Amino acid sequence: MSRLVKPTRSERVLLWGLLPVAVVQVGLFVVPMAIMLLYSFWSTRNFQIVTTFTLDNYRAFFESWTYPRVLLRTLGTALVITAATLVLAYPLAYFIVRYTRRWQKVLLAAVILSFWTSGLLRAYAWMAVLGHGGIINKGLRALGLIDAPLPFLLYSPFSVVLVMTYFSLPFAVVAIYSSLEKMDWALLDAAGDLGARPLRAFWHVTLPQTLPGVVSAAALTFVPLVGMFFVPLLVGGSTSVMIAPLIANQMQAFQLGLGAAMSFIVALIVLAALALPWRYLDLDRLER
Amino acid sequence: MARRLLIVYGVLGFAFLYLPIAFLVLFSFNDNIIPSLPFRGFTLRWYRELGFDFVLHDALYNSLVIASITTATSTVIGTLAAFPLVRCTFAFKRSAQALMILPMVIPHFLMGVALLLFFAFLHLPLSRLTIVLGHIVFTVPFAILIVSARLYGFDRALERAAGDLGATPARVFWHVTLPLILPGVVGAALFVFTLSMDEFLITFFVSGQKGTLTMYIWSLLKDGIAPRVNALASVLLAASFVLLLVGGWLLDRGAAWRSAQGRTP
Repeated sequence: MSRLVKPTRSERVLLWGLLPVAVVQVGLFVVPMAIMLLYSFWSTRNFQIVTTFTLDNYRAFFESWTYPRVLLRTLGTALVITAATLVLAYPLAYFIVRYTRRWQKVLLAAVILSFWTSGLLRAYAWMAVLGHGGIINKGLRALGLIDAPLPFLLYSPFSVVLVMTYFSLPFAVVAIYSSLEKMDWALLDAAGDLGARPLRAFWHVTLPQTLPGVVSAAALTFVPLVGMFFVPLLVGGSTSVMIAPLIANQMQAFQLGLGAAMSFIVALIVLAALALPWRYLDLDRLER
Repeated sequence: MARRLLIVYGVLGFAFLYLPIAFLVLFSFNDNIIPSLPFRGFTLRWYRELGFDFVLHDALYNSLVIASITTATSTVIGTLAAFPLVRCTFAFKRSAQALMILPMVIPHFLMGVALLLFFAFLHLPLSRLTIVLGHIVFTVPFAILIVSARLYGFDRALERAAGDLGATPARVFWHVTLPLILPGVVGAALFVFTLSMDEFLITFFVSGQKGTLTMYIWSLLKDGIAPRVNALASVLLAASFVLLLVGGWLLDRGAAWRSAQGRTP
């Protein structure tokens, strides 16, 4: 209600509080992004930046055999992981909302805790679990189920999908949880009373009501995946080269213009993916 | 039936989230140079080894300095911004919010590349300062969101009462507003601190020669698995669990206070 009245004088004073954040976000986010765009139109010769406008970097990207392929592989892998994450996350969120009662808060905290802790260390935990000497291979061998370590467990596309799904799951569970929590369960009972089977009721009642949560979960899962970096490097095989490590290599090789152009292409894709759920995102309450 | 299936699924889901970490901690105590089966006996050797690792100590010191400066700066900036965002209306508010949230959601490597080019453009050498700047820009949105959550449930009548009783705005802020939002601010600080300690990708691009904790861990991981790393990881995970649980508890107390007022948002 207070939002509809004109700001009082003391409220106008509060607006000054936006000044530092504006300085930080413009100075360290908007301007660097603009500089990145600028660099993408510059070329490098003998480790020197040549500041004449050129489209060579973009041409080099699209005419290359590998770069677009790596980008497409990254996007494809990210889509597979997003789908796997949503399918796994939905029932988990549903379980937390419906069947945990007293434990609900504890379990939700456990989900949130797992994504606030170091990703690097959790990736390491998986390296140790999946490796040739890891607990899965050792365990299966001890049980006599396999003779040699399973080849696909580590350094394969499978391990990248598995570990990245593990990383994304908590985000998606929290996003879906918050929309399930707001759901009107009486409608589900009504559907049941009117004779709908549970699956039908889920499809026509529960899912449509939680769709905003699912869409924002999808976007919030997909966007970081496009930038996956250390997981493919640590657990991926030679066929799991992704776009972010490739760009890092360009930067280290002082191909700044090419790296900037590739980054800008990725940034456009990311913005498009974020625009999708934009109207569903409640910015005032984006608590992750 | 569906209920039972979901409960089994839920248990499996949490096992998936936490078993790898449980194994990591378990094998850090294993008296075996491979952190895996068989379990040869209990030892604290790997933890003791961390005590002699001077490169680690140096990296840890760097990270603590960086995280402390980042936390202080981001929490203050975030708190200042939360007030107008919650209490005022202004033109382009939604766009302003979007711009503020963006550094939190876009992939860190994009920020890393952009900041690296920006610092190169300014001829600013990579140092502890550049890492701090990179950490501030992505942690400020988190601080804003956490403090905002606290402000939404704020009972403005208390401030008005203090004002009616003759307190100056500064006194109202110091004696009424600040104590009430303090758990949110401290919670935000703890969360920002762990974010900064754990940040990898922006640091990777803008750290130059300055070794931070995550850069040191990265150099270890490239050599593969080792029980020493398990021990280090266990210590660090335990530290962030404690910080996050305290932070979460503070924020939750705020929420409980809100519901006691009967104005759950």
